[in-house]
Amino acid sequence: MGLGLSFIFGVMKIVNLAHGDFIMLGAFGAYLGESIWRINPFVTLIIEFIVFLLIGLPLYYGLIPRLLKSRDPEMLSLILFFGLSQIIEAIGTMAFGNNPETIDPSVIGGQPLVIAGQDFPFVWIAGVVVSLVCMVGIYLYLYHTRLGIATRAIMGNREEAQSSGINVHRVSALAFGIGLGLAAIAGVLTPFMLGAIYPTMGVDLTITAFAIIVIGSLGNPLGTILGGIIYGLSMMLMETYLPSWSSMIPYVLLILILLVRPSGLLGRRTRNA
Amino acid sequence: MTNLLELRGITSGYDKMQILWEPDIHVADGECVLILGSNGAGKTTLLKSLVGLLPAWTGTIVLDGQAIHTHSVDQRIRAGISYVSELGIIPTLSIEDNLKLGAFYVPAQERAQRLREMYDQFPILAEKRRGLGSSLSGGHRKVLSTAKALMSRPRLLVMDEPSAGLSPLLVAEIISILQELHTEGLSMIIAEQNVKFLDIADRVYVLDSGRIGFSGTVQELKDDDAIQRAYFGVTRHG
Repeated sequence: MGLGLSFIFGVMKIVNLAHGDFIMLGAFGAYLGESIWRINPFVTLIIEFIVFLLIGLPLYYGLIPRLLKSRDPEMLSLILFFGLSQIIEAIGTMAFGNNPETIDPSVIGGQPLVIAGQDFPFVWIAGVVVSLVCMVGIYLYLYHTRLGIATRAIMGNREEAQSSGINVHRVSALAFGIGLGLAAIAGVLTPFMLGAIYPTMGVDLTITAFAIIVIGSLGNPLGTILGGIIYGLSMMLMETYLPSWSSMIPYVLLILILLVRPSGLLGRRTRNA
Repeated sequence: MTNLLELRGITSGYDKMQILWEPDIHVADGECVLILGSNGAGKTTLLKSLVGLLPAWTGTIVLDGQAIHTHSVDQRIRAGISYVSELGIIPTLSIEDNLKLGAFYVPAQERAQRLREMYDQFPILAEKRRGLGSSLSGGHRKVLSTAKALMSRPRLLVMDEPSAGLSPLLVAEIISILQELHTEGLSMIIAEQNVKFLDIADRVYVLDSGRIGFSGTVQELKDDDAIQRAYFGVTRHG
């Protein structure tokens, strides 16, 4: 869930506060796909990744180049994407109503997996596998493709990358599209992981994703993995021992990490915000 | 010699603050041109305007007969300009990736060939190819930034203060590398405040507050007492 947010921040140094709303759109895409056309969610994953990637390209060119020219793009990005988040949420509410929607978990198929005598629902295993595939995909893209070198160059120093002859907007637009595509993938799995989906769920998802990537280090994909593990373990422990307090976990972790290690657990000087 | 590069009537700056006031500059094919100036003279602004990192407000930039002032940075790089900024490298990338970045638009096979050539020319880079750019010393970073710029086989090498932060010994080493490139016929435009670079220059422009204060050959500069006094604080005795 945090990978797309982290990826976009790493390349553009902007915080996409509408990330959770794109996850919400991905979730409703899966819901519509299943309820109207009976499309298997695993097929929806691929379709939505491509569709959201393609949506990301014009969205990037419409919003980001102008934003990056401003004096304080990081601060302005918060305002701009907060506005975008509100718009998406309003459109979502108009389109889908306020009632939570669900997808029957059986459509995803598969049997629960027994590990050390403990039953793990198939959808959880699927979630882990899809996350791993996304991480490996991002790794291969960044470290084994020409565009990946360009993307990492932009992450390292945007102007230096530009003066090396990289078309930074073209590469950043692709990265933005990939970030939205990853949000869509997280969205498709959301109905199965959270149970119900609703148009106003985006804000909570953004906060959770933000907490995860701040714990690990903003803009660092490896940090996102670490942040996700810490968040997941903390959440499980809280739900086991103090369930009524568990919703505070992202906020508490966010405050703790900002007080103890503001650059994140794997952070050096990655974060400028 | 025909002109490879011509800058005419360029004005540029940051926000509303004008830094460049129409300095006219040209570089002939195979020539090494030095832009001398103190801090704040507008050297970096001039080079950034040349490569497109800063938009030129007015004026024209012509490379080999083709107007490029409306081109984007990547188009200018593809047209044959290679720019080495003061930083010159991406410290978070490996040395090999930095070099590959220098030939971003070159086909993979050709890029691999050029990589081998660079490693032959600069063995220190071959030794540390897997290390990060940030792990290199200041001098080696300059070597890497120069090699990275050469990966695209440029027609014009544009360098911003190659001596910045280097000890006199390393400056001499960088000058020797540039001298060799110049001898091979590479056209260069170097912005510097270190007069040691006069040793490799064919012609000099002295930039002062965004305007050309002097232009001529190295010998003409050395013979001009007024310029020596005004810009370098040198007084000739006897």
